[in-house]
Amino acid sequence: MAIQMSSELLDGCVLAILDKEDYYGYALTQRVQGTISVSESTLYPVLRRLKNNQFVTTYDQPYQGRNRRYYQITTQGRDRLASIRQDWVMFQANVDTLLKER
Amino acid sequence: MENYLAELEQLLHQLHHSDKEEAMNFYREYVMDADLVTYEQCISELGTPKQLSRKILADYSIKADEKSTDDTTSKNPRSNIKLIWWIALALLASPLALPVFIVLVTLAAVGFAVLASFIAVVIALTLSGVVSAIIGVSVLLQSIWTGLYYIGCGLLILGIMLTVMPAGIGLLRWLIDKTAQLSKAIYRRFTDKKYMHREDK
Repeated sequence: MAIQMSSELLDGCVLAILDKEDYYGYALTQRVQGTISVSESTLYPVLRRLKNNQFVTTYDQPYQGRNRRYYQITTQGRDRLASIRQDWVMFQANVDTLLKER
Repeated sequence: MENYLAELEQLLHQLHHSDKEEAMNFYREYVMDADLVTYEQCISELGTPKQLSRKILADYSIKADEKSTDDTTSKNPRSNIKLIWWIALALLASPLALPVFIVLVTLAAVGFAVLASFIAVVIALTLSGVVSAIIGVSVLLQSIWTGLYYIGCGLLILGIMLTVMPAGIGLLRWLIDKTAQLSKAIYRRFTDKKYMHREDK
């Protein structure tokens, strides 16, 4: 992919995925990588940032004798997602305007 | 896999205990879920422990720096130097960043040269001031006027130095500050291009 992702968009994508269901780190990475190309080490900083801003919370669930940490979107996270979606629509429309200019 | 994680943990020793634990838990879980059994598999997925640790650490340094700016506490030069250092290491972790790294090294060398010459000037002025004053005192008995002249010169040099020194230190702080900002900007631009996305997928 030639176009770069900004960190806001990455936050938005992760929040949108978590809006449907809770994910653990590896599954979330796989899910994101299934659609856009990001490196394996990109998601940790994103999740940490979202958690620090209280857009997501975490809880642990036992799995085969160890714990898996699940990420869950918060109410603030949903608000943030809505505003990122709004920004994106605006941004997309503006870029489209310029791209379609002849 | 255990070796990989152990190495990573060692490389993260600078982080706060809780931050380190959090990062380690995340990657321990990741490695297990991704079924990365051998050391080589870990590297092909996550990069070498060094590369991964530098990426984690650079992220923390920048966060910490932003926080201190928000608190409007004055940035201290030591943490800035540390920041410059970590970013230089993070850049070095990728061969593509070599030109950027060379620029940073050059900047660091220049900064070091300025610092060294500043210290040398301070030492030289202090010495000449003190020596001149001592000569003045010892000559005082033979010739009062010559003695007073030397003492005066010595005190003058010391006085000028003490007046100018705060300005010099201010200038140095400013230089370090600017370099830190510059490397931060380079790091941002660089991560946007190279780390966030693989271009070949």
